[in-house]
Amino acid sequence: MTVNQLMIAIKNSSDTPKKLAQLLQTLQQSSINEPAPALLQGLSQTLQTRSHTLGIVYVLVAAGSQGLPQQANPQFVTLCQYLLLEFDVDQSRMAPDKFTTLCHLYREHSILLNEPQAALQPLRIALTNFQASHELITPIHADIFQICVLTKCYSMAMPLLAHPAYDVDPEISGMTARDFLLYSYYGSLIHIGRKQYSEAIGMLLHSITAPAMATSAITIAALKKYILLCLIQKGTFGSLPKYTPSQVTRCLKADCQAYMDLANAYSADPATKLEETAAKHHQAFDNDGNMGLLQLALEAHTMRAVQRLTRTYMTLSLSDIASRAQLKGAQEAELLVLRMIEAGQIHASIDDSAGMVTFLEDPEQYYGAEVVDRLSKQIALSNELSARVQAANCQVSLDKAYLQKTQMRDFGPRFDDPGEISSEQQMVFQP
Amino acid sequence: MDGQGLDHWQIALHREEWTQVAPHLDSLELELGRALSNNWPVDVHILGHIYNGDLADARFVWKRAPKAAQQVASNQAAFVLLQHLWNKEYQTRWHAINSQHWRPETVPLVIAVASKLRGQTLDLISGAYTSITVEKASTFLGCSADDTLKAARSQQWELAEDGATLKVTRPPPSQTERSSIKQLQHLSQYVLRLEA
Repeated sequence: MTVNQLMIAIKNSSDTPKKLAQLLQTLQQSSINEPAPALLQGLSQTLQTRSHTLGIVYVLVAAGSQGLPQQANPQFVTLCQYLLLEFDVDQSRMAPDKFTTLCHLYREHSILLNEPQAALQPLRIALTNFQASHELITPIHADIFQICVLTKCYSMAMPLLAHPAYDVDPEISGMTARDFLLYSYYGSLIHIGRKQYSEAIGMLLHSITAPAMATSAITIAALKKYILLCLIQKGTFGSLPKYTPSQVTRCLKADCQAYMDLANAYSADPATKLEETAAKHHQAFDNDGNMGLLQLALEAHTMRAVQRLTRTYMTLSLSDIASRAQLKGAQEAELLVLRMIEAGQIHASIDDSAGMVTFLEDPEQYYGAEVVDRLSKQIALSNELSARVQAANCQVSLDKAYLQKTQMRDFGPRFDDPGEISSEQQMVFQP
Repeated sequence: MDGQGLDHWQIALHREEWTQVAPHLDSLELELGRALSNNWPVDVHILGHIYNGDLADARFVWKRAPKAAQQVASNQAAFVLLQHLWNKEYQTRWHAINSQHWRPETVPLVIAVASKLRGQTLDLISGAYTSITVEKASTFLGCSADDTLKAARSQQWELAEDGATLKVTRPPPSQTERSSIKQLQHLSQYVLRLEA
């Protein structure tokens, strides 16, 4: 099909749903091999973004796939920008995989052109329109997060991370396993940059525990950050959740030895062993871009030492705290205690004239309206989550392929045809 | 530094709506869709985030700022203040606040930031000390000994007999509103549901 024929076909087949379905079939069956400049010129002269979204997406994907990863195309970027700012949502959802591929290509070209920030707003608008609901994760999320990290515009990703996301539906969003891993990984980087470590741990767990037949480099990178964040946030790295794929668990020894050594040294005494381990594996942390997190983990270790003191002593002098937490002197100890009080990490009061610190109980009584309100919200959230899990369980239990496999296992080969199962027997599989 | 949205942050600055300054500048940056220009109000942007307590976002504004903008004295002053706050250097941050390099249009925002920091420091001292020397409290609060004593009196702290130490009294715990019958009813419903 020549460029002209293609443009005419798109133009004449975009006005009714029936014609659009035919156009989609034609575009799926034919391969567009014309050179990018001819395609982009034909497109800009003939088509309109809102009326011919489906066709334009296919043409742009064909044009944008050329030249990468070496050469960016400014005209492609401009036309993509026009389309993403104004497109027909229904047409874009007819070919979700192509639409999200186009977003990937747009992101790649923009980065190559050294203008990633320009892609941020069009991608955000595209996501808002394309996304069927806030709860649906799409491949565009990862594109936006990557650009936010690259341009250091971390706060601009926050509106997307603020909504809890539950659904991953490849049929609606064209999501792949890699897209999901990137979503979790880049999302965690955003949280780390904004010092929201518990949220970052949650995002990294998505990457680590995602079902996998083989381990991805993204998962290994996530695993390394996860270990460091556990040390910072919890002071220990125990083990991975039970539902982690065995391939990923095996990576702990094979690919994360430096991190496991650090985790082991973290809980061991004396603290010098920790410093030795950190120095020994310095290069590994540096190569992984984790020096900042390593530094934070080492600082957190000193704070843990002070926190441990609160369990043993009621009152302690600043110089004693300094010697027990291996600080330089009373002044440094006072500053550290003050910082920890401000951060809510300990409850204590400093007597400046006597140079003493009194450790106190948590002043919160947990009976106020605010606490009960928080508790109620948390329970409501847990209930909602439980309902979602039950619904998902129910959906899986009614899945034809699932039923077939479980019947084979439980009843033997008697029920070859699932249509033969009685409704009572089907109920067995329901929660 | 051009564009239609430019006025929003300036209006916020003019109206002393300090919490709105940084979000307006963030939106403008997103709308413009390009790297920050050399004359971007980096100082205002950083101070706006500091006022809102978003130190991480303030830090990234500095990282996004072009080299030329990082050389501007007022922007550097904002960055030095941010560094002190980031590192929680309670005693030295006032040197940064009292910098002579602020632009005249930035000064009201700096004063607002200083006032907010002073209030937070008073709260911190109240919560963290039972006694503190007047000298140390002065360096924490970034004011003279006389002003410190005035602030101490307003907090009902007492001056010890030595005349150099303040006896800090913790503010009485705020009367937390007890949970209402309605809230307890909700909780009971949850418990019943879980037991069912």
